[in-house]
Amino acid sequence: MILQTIITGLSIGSIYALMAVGYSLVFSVLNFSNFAHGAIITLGAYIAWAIMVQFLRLPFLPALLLSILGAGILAFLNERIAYSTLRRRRAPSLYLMISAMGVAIALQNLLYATIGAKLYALPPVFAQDAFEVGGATISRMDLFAFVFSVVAIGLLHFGLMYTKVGTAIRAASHDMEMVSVLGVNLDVLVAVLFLIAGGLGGMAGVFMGVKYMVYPSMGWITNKAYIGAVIGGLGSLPGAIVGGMLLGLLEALVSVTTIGSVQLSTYRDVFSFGILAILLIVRPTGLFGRLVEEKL
Amino acid sequence: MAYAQAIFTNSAIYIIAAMGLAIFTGYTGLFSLGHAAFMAVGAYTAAILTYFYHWPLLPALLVGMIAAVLVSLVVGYPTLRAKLRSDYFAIATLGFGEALKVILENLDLTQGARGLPGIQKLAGPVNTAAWMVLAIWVCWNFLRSTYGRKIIAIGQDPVAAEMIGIRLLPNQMLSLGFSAALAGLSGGLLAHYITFIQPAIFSMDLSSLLTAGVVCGGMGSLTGPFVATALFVVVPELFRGLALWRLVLYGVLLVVIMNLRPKGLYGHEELNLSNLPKLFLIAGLTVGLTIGASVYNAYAPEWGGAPSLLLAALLGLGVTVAMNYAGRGLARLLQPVLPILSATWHRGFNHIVRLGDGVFVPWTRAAGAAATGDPGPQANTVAADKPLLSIRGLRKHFGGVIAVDSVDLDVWPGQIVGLIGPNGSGKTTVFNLTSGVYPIDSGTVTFDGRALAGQPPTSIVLGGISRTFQNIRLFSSMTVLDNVRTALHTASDYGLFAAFVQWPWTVRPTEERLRTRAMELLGVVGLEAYADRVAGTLPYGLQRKLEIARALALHPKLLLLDEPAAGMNPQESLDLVELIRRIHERTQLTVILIEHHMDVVMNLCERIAVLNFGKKIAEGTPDEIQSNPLVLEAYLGQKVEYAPQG
Amino acid sequence: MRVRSAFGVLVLALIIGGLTVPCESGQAQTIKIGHEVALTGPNATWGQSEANAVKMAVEKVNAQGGVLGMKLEIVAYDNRADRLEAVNVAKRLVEQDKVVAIIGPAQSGVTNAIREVNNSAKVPVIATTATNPKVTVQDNGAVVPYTFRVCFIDPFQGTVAAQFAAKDLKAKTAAVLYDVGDEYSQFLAKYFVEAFEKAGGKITTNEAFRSGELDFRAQLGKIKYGNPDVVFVPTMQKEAALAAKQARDLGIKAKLLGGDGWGSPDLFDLAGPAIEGSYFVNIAALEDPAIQDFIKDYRARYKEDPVLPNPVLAYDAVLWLVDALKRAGATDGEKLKTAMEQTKNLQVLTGKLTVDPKTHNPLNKPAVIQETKGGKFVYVKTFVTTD
Repeated sequence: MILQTIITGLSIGSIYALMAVGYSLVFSVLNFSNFAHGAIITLGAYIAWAIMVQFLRLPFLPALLLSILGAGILAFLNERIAYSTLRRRRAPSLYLMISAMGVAIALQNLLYATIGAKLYALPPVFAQDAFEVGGATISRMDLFAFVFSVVAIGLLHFGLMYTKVGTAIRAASHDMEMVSVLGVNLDVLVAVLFLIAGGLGGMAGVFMGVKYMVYPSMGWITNKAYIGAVIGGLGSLPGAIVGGMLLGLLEALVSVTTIGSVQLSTYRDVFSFGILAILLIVRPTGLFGRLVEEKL
Repeated sequence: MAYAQAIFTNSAIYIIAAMGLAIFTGYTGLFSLGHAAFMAVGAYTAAILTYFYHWPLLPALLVGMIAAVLVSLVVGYPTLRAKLRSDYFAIATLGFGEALKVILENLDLTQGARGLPGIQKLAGPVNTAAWMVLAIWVCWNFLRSTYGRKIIAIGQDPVAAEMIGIRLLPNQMLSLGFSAALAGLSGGLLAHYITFIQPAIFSMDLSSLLTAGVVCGGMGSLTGPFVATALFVVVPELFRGLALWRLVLYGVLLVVIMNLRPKGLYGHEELNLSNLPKLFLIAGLTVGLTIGASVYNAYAPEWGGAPSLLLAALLGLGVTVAMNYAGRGLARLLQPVLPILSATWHRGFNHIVRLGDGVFVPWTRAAGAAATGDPGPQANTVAADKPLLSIRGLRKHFGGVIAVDSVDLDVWPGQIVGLIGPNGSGKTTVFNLTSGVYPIDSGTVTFDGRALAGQPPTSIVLGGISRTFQNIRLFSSMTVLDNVRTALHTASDYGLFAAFVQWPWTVRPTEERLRTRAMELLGVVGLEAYADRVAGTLPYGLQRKLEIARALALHPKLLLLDEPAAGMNPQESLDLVELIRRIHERTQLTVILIEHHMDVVMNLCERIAVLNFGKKIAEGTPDEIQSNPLVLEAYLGQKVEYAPQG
Repeated sequence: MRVRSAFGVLVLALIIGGLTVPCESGQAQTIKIGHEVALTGPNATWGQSEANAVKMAVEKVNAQGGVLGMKLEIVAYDNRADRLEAVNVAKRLVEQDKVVAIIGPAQSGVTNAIREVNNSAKVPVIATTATNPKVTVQDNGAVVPYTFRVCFIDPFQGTVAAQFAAKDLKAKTAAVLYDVGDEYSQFLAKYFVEAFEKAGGKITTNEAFRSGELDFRAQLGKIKYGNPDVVFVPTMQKEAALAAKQARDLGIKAKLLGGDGWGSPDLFDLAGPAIEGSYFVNIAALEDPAIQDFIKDYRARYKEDPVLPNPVLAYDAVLWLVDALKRAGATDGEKLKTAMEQTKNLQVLTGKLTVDPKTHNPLNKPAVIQETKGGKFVYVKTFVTTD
């Protein structure tokens, strides 16, 4: 059973990790918590639904790619509308965060008000086949999601390391002002950044939609992703991945533990948030994060 | 009528919670996303007491408030102590809110997800309104007291607040506790009004409502959140069909306000005669919308959509316009009347206070005797036989950069010492190390006989070192007077409860004393005429002077001035030199001055130390320094001899 | 300035005129009945159907002359199955619309939430599918004066499920996965466990999750380890679908069993093939001969099948109310309540309605077992428990 629990944990964890990467990416450059990421993830899932079920009835792979693109564009628009003015004005990160919250609340409830709270399921992508490994089962969808995420993050890493844009993004994460002084168009840089982050979010949304279902408050699961990102260290991409995975594992393990007669599965969220609190207090930079000091 | 009562009572309940959040988020600057959790604690505690143990309402509410405060302290202590940046803190509060909900869902005492139905309906429009008025009054008093000023200072600039001796942690926790108490009160009233509670009620939606109310109402104000929260509760009720869009509206408003008008409706200002018309306009819009909506509903079935819409729009617009003019008219009317009324009120109040003097003052004389004496400007009572400040081998590095490299410096009492050097030579870092803002890597700093290493910045400041900053760090939304008054917080001796009720026999004399002393300090720098101006509106040069006045408020033995003449023209620099000289003569204050304006430095300083790349390269009198080749090289570069060609 | 003042006065006059006019309202010529129903949200499939059925019932009654010489009028508001919203709706119905009774809500938690409102206003509430016993009977055993229900209660439902599992599915061991955030789920699980053990079965593991969670694989992994014959999932259709998918993903082959929360047609959309061959307890089934006339009428009018059992129960509730009004001879809350309590052998769609005045519950309500087969709910049998 332990093996199964671990596999379950990693499977949930990989979704958290994917969400956390998009979130940490924006944080590393713009230094604020993009709370609207959850809404983008939700919209990614809805786009997939619209394409696969409601309007076009396309098969999975094209729908996935279109959702990634759609979510990226939405994230870009989000930045334009809600963040770019504040960014140019060098507003404190708190303002950006409040604006992000506003977007999150508005988008989620917009879904409630227009499409409604009805639940939708994305059609199953693979047959109900599962692999047996040492007494534990892994579903095909999980494996696919895992592999696809690894490839995507690998591509991201490659892009960040070896392309011009990627290098610019990495530089910007250290010093935005310097980068603009060196002639990089910040607006384009930030646009690309959000396209990527949104795309990753959309991907996560589609996988969530296939694994579970599509409904307006999906975004709240990204609270867990934030925790994962913080655990790994905000602003660090490997940290986001490790943090997300760790969180998934922890949650799975807690869910099957029973202390005395008390089942911990329903207290799971207390553990997750407890870990968050402890980490923020003891080591706010998380496992891999950087400490950014303010010049006094 | 009953329906209107329900709307009114709901608004009052949420307004109480919003007032609390306004203090914590709006004034102290800490963003709490899980505030509904404190409401939940207050609600459940009060409800359990009345439901299972049949307590009466008042004690149950009070215990609920205490429970909320205790929980807030338990949560607040580790998170505030860690000095998390604002978004980490917000996420932590979000997490706490969710965790609390889980606990409530699982406890048997709270009956889990089922919640507690059938609570007695002990809260109605009247007592809720009474609580609301009381809450607003207490908040208002709190903000006008020393405690309030300290909290506002932290919200404006935590670093500057520490540098005038305000300890961040206890004050932030006070702010949190107070705000949690109000949230707990609000929760308790809510439970006894809607007569059932479940964890699901205290959701992110509720926290969002409160947050939106504070942000859109305007941070740094009580009026703003009051108006905004009332609107946010009332307006959706009028448009029931649009219930879901209400939350969309909150979200959109947050984005719009943050981007276009971060001040919100009433940021940093309270209700007064000049913004009274604005209030009437908002009220008029609401009433206009209401009337428009009911007219539309009444006539649409008979007359059809378009005509009734037209009528509704006309009436709505008419009401709005009328209310706007009514507001302006009222303001104009009140203008002459209000001062008379206020003077009469004050006369009457003072009379009553004096009547009570016989009863209360003797107590306070005995209790607060020790603190009443205010030393005022005095000669420096520091021993003159050893250096006041002694720095030995001071070192600090940031990552791979060595900012300060084995610096030695002695400053004798009563000296004015200059600290100069090219940009980036470590001067401000020396100040930061001395005042405790950065921890020292190695070396010692001894001040007045005591080693400074390991002391928190507030202790160092209260021990006699005061400073100003390179980039002016004023509390820009406070008045000039309050900036100085806040720095006088150590001379304030009344307790928290006295602050809440503005107990006339302890608070008034103290506040009077503080005001007098603050005006004196403003007089020293020549700013008395500006006492009631908002600090951020002062011209640059005067802001500098204010910063100096504020630094002086703490009776420092040593004053660190960081580039006080930066950005000043020659005339202003001259004035500054005069000012510093005057202060020095009056109080024999020891001063260390970082400056780039050589005229200021050479004129004022008896001794000058020169830093370059973190090392001290020279020290001596102004003349010695001016002719020192190392100094010239540091500033101008290496001397290149021109061998004439040819 | 003068012109502006004059304009201001004119506007004020218009306003006052406008204010006075809408205040007149027509004399009440109808008996208003409120309907608390979830028209949007995850429970909307049942709610919409319920609203349709109530409309049908009321039209029929009015066509036959109404009640007490007046026509019936339905005032329905959407409560989204949200408890706070339901309280607002209840207040509106009672204070503004002045209804004589309220049909619905359909959820136990929601009915509990509005208890204070309708009881202090003495307006009877007939919950349609609220099955938790505490809805009408308080902890101290006293009946909630103005709350009634027209469906069976969960101890009965739990027993039916347990006996079906033990006898028909021949299960010796069972595991349970329930929602700790929903009192319906929590208590139904409890009753199942009691009844199953009474019938000689053994519970391998009793797992819970929090409302709103989507991933139960950790808990299901533990369930799989215990190797039960049957897994009881007393939740709403959304969680049941997720649980079924994830259980099959993990390779759990045991039969899945549920309660009336499963009965929404979108169960198949959400669960796909994972839910095939599972069983659940319901209050009514489409194939039930007793309600065929109703189903025909509904299909003719609304061109789709009713989403059972809510419409049938709501219809019954209207009939119950009408009968009680006639016997009470008045719309007064107290008289109506007494008349409702004294209902005996009233012919309704689901049989003969007799009410137990001590619990406000209908006596002798049957339960049906349905199977999920071929994307449809298939009737298996009607259950009468052996106690």
